[in-house]
Amino acid sequence: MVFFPQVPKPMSESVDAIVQKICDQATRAGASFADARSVESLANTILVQDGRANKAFSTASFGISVRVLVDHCWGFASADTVSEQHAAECLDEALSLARASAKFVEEQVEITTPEPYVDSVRMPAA
Amino acid sequence: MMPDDMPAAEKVKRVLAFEQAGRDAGDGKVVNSIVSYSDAYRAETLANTLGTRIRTETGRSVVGAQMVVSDGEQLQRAVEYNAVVGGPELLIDTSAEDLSVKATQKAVALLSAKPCPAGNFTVIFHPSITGLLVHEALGHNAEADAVASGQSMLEGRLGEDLAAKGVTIIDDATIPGAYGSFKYDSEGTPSSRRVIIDDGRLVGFLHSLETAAKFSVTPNGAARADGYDSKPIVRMSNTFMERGTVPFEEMVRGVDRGIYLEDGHWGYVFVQKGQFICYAGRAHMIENGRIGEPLRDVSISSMTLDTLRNIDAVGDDFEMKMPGMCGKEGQSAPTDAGGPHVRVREVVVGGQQM
Repeated sequence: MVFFPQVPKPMSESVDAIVQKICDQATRAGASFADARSVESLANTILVQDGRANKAFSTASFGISVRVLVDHCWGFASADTVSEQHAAECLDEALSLARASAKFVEEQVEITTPEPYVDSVRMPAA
Repeated sequence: MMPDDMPAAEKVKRVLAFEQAGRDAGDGKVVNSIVSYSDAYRAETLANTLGTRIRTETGRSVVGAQMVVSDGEQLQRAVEYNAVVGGPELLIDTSAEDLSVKATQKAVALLSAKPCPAGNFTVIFHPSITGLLVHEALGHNAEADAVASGQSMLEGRLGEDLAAKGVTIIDDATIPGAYGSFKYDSEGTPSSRRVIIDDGRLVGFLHSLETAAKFSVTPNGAARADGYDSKPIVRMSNTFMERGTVPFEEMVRGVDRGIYLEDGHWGYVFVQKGQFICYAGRAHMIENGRIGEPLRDVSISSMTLDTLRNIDAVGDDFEMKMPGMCGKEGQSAPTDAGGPHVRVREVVVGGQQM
């Protein structure tokens, strides 16, 4: 029997709130820049070979990453579960990695300060 | 449509029908046939400390057919595929004639094709080969992280005339419906149309926030991350050469003895050396200004900049049909590539007979 899980529902308020909250916490922790990204993905594959449908499978994942710029060094961490707790742990790890790296790297990272955008996009359009 | 807008059983039924049609078209010569279909849904939610809050939902789907045929002495293989930013409507919009039947017909035709001669030839690139050239040979060199780290042959060459006049190469992530298109990159920068080569001159690179600062330019939305556990890195989107003015027939008429390369299958680039290799699924001899006998097993190897300089005709046609997943640093990104037919002098062609 072929079974495909349903496409994840549109972002809940909680995911939106989590990524925003982590950015606020990163600023308070001294990051000159930070971003938080959650990605939900689902893929379905069907393979027919020599007259037989011999593979039909789905893969799904839902996780979050946090990237911080501290003392001109990047720190990055990710988790395969999206929750406030996992996001906070990612932030702590990213901050630690950036601070630890800052003591050793020779080339300091600078970024072009991006314009802020607020948008919701669906491709293809519904 | 999104992936769950068509029942799984309906998808399987349609894929089975494609595969059956491909085998039926082979007159008993098909010895192995594979038709595959995938659809993917991705929702990316991004926030940053400057106030960006973006949610992007994207559906992408791809269907492909690989047919292997035999005449009892040799095996030949051909592949056809189609992909869109979209969902299962691809299975409705694609016909068996344009997919599995076409792959079978191409594979059967290769059974009677001759091995390609080896040597130095004037070559005409089909748009799929042009796509390989602009993506593999040039595009990866134009990713600014490669330039900044000294891994690109384009380092320090901005403003130089590196290609023939009339050659313009662009990476454009804003083309509606194209497989490599997106509205915002994974850093929240809006996507854009980025000119790399303008009428032969190197004018720009692809940038993230970090590389834009290094090069003192405006970021142009090329930082893409694969999954939630990947950092954004500089990637191409839809990379192509702009069409020129020369009709294909006129291009062919100007060749005494050369090769018309078709079906760009794969390529590999030694970024730092500026050298590339690409394999064409099929080809034709060009003799006395006419397309001649079919050839098989054709590969070319060249220095990227020599190839770009040796282009002496850019076609007035255009095709971008090379959707796929481009790999870099362990990450995959949806991309497309293409362009017009182009004619190139002095290309090293690998083959089996002189």
